[in-house]
Amino acid sequence: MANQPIIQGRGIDKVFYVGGQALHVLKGVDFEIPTGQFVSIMGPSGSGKSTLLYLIGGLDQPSGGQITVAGKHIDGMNSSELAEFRRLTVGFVFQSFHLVPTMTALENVALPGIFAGLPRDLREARASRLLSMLTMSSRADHRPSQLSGGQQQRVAIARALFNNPPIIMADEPTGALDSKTGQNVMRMLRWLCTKQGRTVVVVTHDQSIAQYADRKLELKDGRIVGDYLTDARGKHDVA
Amino acid sequence: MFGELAHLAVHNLLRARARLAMTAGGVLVGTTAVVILIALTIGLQRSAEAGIGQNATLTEINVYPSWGPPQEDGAEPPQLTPAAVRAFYQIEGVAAVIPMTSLQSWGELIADDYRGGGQVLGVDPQLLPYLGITAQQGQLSLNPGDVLVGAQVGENFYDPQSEEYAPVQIDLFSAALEMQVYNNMGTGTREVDMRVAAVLADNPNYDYAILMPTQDVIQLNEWVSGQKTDPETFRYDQVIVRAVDREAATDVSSAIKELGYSAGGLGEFLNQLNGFFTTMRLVLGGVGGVALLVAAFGVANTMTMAILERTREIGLMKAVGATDRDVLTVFLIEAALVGLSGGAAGIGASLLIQNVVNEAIRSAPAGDGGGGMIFLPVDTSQLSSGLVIIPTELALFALLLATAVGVVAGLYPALRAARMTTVVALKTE
Ligand SMILES: Nc1ncnc2c1ncn2[C@@H]1O[C@H](COP(=O)(O)OP(=O)(O)OP(=O)(O)O)[C@@H](O)[C@H]1O
Ligand SMILES: [Mg+2]
Repeated sequence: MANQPIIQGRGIDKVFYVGGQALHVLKGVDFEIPTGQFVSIMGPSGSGKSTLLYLIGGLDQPSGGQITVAGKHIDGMNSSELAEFRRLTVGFVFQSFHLVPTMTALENVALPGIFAGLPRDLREARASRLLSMLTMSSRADHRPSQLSGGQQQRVAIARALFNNPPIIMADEPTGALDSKTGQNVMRMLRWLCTKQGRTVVVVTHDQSIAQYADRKLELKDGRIVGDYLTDARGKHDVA
Repeated sequence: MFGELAHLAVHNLLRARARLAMTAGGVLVGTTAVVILIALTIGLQRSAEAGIGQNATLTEINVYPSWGPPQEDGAEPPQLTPAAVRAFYQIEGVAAVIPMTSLQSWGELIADDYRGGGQVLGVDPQLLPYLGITAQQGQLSLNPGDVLVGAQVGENFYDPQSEEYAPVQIDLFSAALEMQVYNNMGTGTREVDMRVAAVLADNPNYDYAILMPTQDVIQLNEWVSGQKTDPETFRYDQVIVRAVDREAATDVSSAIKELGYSAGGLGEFLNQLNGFFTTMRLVLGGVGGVALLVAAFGVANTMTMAILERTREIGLMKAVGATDRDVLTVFLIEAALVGLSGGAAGIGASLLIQNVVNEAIRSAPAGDGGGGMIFLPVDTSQLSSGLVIIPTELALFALLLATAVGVVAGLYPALRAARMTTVVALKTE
């Protein structure tokens, strides 16, 4: 394969301490994800999927092991290095959207630009281009409460794209949506992978959703127990 | 970058307007308390200074030989010798040095059949212009045999034949005046004719003075003691040093004390007065500060609430690339803006109070018979510039203080926000 791994995990350990009790959530996870791949991470509830995603996205620090993303060792980075890493490298999409309720769709999309130090007119110009790419232009001035779940998730995806990151990470992005809307969101993520060459990592426990991915990683009790290439549905028929 | 974060902070503040208004309201009350109480001391100080008068007396320093215990080497404390007078004149900021000689005996004034008195002071006629005196009748000049009498001297004559003392008023300017001087032994008296060149206008320092040329007083003293004046041992009784202006007076005064003399005067008194008002300002400012302290807890509480409510948002901000420092900055700007807006409103309220209070005093009946304001410790007629005075510096200081209170109160909550673990914050419900 010509593609170099953009994400590489070596012996990733994660231990949580709750009330003096050690909870070993990830127990030596090894994997590589090549650039431009669409990977789904599946597994039962509590198996450590979200934990793993947050570790490779630089939202949390591993207890042990090495994580290399886009050529950077992110284990051992300090908090401001991690902030810069997240800003430049990863766009996040969450199950519960995490939109700021008092901001319009446009302002929500433009939020990452504040921490990138972009002036307001540049921020909003880029945000409105992203909204129109996701056919949300007409809703630019709406607040999250005035949008449907699917629309809110599209705003969140536009926000994830704001800094043009090479990697999109989504934690159960369809979890709060009905199946038809969920399929739409997955098609959109598929499009970002196929047409824009971004690497996409999606955590889900919905088998039908996972079919949009090129590859499926199965997690159980903090270990990878399955790694399959799939014939991604919709891989070739995205607009 | 700071501008973008400030923009976000403003957005966050405006989303909870009612809470902002209430929290800033606390700062408003605190700021108003500090400003009004300090402004009150400034008003009182100005009126006290106005009452003392802005005239020549404030640049005047009275010098006396030091009265302290004998110095360790047994040496005499420095005396008011002619050499000392020359030394005073060398001090920077001195406009004039006026040495004075007193009569070493009792002199009684006689006009018509009435008797009166006063303090006889010998002064160099050429130095009269520096004495800060004006004439209500006659000319300010002293030729040999001339005297200048204080405004009160003519008011307090009495009839020696009368059974009871009743003050009699004599027009000294036109009356034939002579003074009876007793010698040291009490063995003889001498009558001296006096030509009143001028009656002085009111001046608390010279109201009871009889000013004569120094030479005349020295001659009288020689007669009183029966001895010639020895230039070696000659001492002035009092020296008045006049500084070029009020500010210089303080320095001149301390320079004189450094030479070993006692120095006093209204300028000195004014310094003490200023010291008193500085203390008063600190105390009252502190009282107002307590209100501001309470407001600080309000700001801290509001910021803590905001951070708890927006925990998920803080997680999100970090997820999209905000550093801990960015988060800290956003919340500190919010806290500072709460302080600033409360402070600005407080200054507005203070200016309003200033106008209302000063207007009320101005329209109140003047003088002490007026009632209404009688409980004020000052004469309201002296309050032409107002009882409450808010200088620009005070307003700016208050604005800065209110902002600083916001920042300090917001520091701990903002640090908590900045240190939140991204993942935990994102998962918070
Ligand atoms: N911050 C934390 N502190 C303590 N324990 C945690 C923390 N985060 C996760 N855990 C624990 O780690 C384990 C794995 O959690 P994780 O969220 O990764 O599971 P998941 O596979 O995403 O499950 P689900 O499908 O339900 O989302 C769980 O037992 C959870 O209770
Ligand atoms: Mg999960």
